[in-house]
Amino acid sequence: MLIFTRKGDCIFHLDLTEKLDFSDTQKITGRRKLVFGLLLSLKSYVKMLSAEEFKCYSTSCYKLHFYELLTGIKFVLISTPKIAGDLTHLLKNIYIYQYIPFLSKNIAYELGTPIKCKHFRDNIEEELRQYSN
Amino acid sequence: MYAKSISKPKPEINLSCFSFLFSEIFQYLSKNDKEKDIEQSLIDFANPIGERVLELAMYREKTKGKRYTNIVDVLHFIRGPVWKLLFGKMAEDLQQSSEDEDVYFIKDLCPITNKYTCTRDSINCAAFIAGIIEGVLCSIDFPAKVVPHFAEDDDEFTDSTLFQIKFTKGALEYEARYSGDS
Amino acid sequence: MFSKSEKISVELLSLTYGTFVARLLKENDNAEEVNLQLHKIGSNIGNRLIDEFLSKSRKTACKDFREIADVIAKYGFKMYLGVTAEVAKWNEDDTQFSIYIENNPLSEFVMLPIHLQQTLWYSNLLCGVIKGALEKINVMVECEFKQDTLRGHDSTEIIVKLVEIVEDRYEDDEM
Repeated sequence: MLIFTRKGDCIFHLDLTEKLDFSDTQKITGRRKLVFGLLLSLKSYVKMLSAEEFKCYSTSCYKLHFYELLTGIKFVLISTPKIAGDLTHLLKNIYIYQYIPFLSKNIAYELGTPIKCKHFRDNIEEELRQYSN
Repeated sequence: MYAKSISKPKPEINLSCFSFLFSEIFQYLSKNDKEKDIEQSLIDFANPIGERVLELAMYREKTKGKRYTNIVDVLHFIRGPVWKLLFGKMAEDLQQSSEDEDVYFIKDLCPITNKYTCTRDSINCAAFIAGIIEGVLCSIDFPAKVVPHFAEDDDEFTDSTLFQIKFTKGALEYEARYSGDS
Repeated sequence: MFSKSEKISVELLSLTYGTFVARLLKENDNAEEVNLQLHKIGSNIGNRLIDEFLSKSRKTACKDFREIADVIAKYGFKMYLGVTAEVAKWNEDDTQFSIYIENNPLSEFVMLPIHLQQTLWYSNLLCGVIKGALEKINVMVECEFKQDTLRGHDSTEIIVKLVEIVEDRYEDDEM
């Protein structure tokens, strides 16, 4: 799962598959940029085609869920293609019950900077794991 | 007009509003009060609030002008009316330390200042509330030092805080003088 | 919609704010400087508050500046300060309006000393909040006090002026 700011900075990145090597910063930043670029193109593409908002798309090997706020913060979740429907509601819940109380209102967190709050990370991990089981 | 507006409790407003303001005060203090420890800055900042809170609470309780002469009465006054005025409920618990006679503890299960902070390991923002208590005690002539501690016996996700209140010699003498009189 | 959020006493808020303003006055040379600081701090608050506001009010994008004004006055002030505000005095091309506030909770117990009555905008924080919150949804405004009952005026009035509504642009980024 990833969270981007309006400007495209990735402020949160959680990987439950444990396949990503976070020490390889170059590769990780590259990957993040790719995801963000993809989102933007998809967003404008979907906008051209229909009045509907872009929520998710799926390929044979993964499914991408997307939730964007009016403030430009973007939540992205990449899951297995087996999950039915889109998980926008899950991302929305994360936003309302995790992002707002632990970050928006957190004294120690400066908006737009990478999220280090452990509580936030743990909660999200728990929530996502519940879903994948 | 002034009297009319303070005599009855005002409608309550959204906690978020306070949380946002508090968070900015915290930022401001941590930038401008560098030489001090942030908890101490919060305590000092909140001291003058205590003074005003005392006036209001006494007014509401119709005890204006009453002289408190006994430490336990004062503490009950804080745990009850003062807490109610500030947070809309009584404080959870009031205890005397088993080791020191001049030390008391007031316990609050979830201080509003800690609701949205995840700095549990290092800083207890309830120092702000400690400062208010200090301010109240000071203006009521029972000066004390108030320190917030995270309560240890609780589940790690609650932010329950113990306010350790250690009265100064002056406060004890003050009490002794009055109890001697009666 | 508003009842769900947790509550706090107005006294604690107004006393805390008052103490903060007093502190700023002590540490700054003049009231103008304090006005600026309050504005700046308010705008930090606005930056944060907007997320919560949008999620609680379940608002979708506003279609124009008039709608934005209504939302601020009817929902924003109500949700955070528990008071309603009036929108009035639109200019001809709908880019400027005034907000009138009754019973501003921030100034609940306040009487300004004479020497500050002409210089300090005690609740200037509010202007900052409005600016900061709108900025996050790409609406740039200027916001300032016109009148304040604390200064002996008949009403409390904030003027909000639209500067521009910006579109997201990514081409400029070095992506």
